[in-house]
Amino acid sequence: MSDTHSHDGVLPSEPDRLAIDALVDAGWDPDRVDPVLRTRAARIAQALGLLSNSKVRSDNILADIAFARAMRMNGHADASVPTLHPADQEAMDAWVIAGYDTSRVPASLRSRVFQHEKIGRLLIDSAPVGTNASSLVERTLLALEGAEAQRVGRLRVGSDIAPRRGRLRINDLVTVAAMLLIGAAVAIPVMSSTRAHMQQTICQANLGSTALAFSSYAADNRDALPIANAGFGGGSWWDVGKGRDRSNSANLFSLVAAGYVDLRDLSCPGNPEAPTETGQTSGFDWRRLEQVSYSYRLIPAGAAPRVHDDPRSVILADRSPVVLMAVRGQPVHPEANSPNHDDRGQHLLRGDGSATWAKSPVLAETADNIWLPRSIEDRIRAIRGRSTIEPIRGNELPSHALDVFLGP
Amino acid sequence: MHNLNAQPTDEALFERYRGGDTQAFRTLIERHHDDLLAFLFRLVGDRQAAEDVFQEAWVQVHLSADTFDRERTFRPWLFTIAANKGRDYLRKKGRRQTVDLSAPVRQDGSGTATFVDLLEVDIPSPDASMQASERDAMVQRAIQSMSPQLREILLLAYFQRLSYAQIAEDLQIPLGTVKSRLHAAVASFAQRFGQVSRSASDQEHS
Repeated sequence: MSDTHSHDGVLPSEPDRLAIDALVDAGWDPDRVDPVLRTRAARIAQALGLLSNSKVRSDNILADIAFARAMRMNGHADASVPTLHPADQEAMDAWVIAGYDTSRVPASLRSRVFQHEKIGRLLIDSAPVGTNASSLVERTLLALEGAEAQRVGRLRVGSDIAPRRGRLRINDLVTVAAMLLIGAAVAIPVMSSTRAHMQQTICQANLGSTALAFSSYAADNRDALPIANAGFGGGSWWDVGKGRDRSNSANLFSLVAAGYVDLRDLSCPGNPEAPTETGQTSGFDWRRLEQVSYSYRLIPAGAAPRVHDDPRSVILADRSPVVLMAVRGQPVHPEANSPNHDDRGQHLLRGDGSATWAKSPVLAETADNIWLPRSIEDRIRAIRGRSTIEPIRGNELPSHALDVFLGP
Repeated sequence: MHNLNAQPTDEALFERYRGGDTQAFRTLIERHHDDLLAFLFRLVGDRQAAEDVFQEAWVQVHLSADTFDRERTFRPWLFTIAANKGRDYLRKKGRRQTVDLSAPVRQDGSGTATFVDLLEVDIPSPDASMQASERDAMVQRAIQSMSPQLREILLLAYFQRLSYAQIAEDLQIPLGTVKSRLHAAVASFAQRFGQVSRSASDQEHS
């Protein structure tokens, strides 16, 4: 079956090599080999004893060994690449087939398998990995966050296609649109779930930083929660960016203004309008309601809540969907989740500094809806689960000291 | 009886990560830190580059999380991704063989083939008297002088201890190619290590 001879016996010809490959691809069944190569494949199978012995034929390991022998006959045409001694080849095959367990290799091959084993240990055991594993782990996690943030940023900016010199023909536009659509159709389902998880991770890390900021602020200000204004200046607590004494977000922003927290830590990647540079803010507040990523506990005028009053009480959460709906005059879903995470849930930061994920805005322990004051919750309880327009004007306040009500 | 002390499998941890448990991802990174870094160091030949590729590999694992086939095991998938990243790195760097060690160990006289007999190559045990740093440098020299293709399959086979079929699947090459390439890789490494070793020995005696 060969056309070529060498020092090491018979070498298969190129057609034989093709037939061997085809035979392997066909699961060692010559009948399934392409007709062009079938006769040759059948001869090879016969030569290897695969046709006459059904047991051998069904045994993959033995078939592997037979094939390995056939391939060893092949040798190496490229003289620049050294060839392993046939006995070492056989030892290697036997070792791999035995799952790298030397004790399962026939004794006659063991001395050569020991050499393979030594090579393995030489490669693995002598590779230096250093001792500072935690540093690399941390850097890897940071790289992960950076990659995710970059991707979120790219998605936010959109596909910037550099304009081509000269006129763009309609065909070009159609082609580009088709490519974008196909790309998006393939990529978005694959990426969206992972992206969402990473956004959640970054967001949770944000709350961790903010918890530290609250703690530092409290330490410097007799345990107080940050308050930038005393009341809402006669307006509404959702009047973001309209004056120092207007919005509740200005209270939260005072942590940024006083340097307790970086603005980026109050920018959830799930909010496409969240600014990351203070130049994009008014300096004492975010500029617009849509820029605000987190909703902070509303504090009635004259109150001076302290962070340790109720350590389990929620003081901050992903931004309220209710406020956004109300400001836009849209129907309010009282139990909607934050738009930061596609209505899947929201992070909650409590007075004790813990940050948790909640799939509902209604707190399990108190049945308190964090988006609404108790007074309104009581009114809508009867129509719970239904979409309705509630008269929220942005001047509501917590019904009592323990009523968790966040905004904007 | 259920073993309460049993560590979660890689696959279970990765599934938890896909469900949003980021701590599970950290555990995975820590668990594979040493092996993967050693593998990459051998592959790319430079500690700093290995650490960079290490990070890129994990980022890619994260980005490809949704494509992971739950029927597969995690570790080979991780190493295949890492090998791909290592290959990308080497391609970008345009690294070429820096040591020309193509002289045959033994030729048959025809000039067409070179055979390496492992029994004739002095391969030291890791616990041999040779200094670890010296041995490490020699191994690295030998590996770096191999072609990237041979280097990759050699490391994947020895680090991963995969079957031929698994390597074929991971590298997307035919089974026969896996075998012939791995044989050539072992021969190539043994040959080059023998030469590096002899060269070091000659320098000592000169």
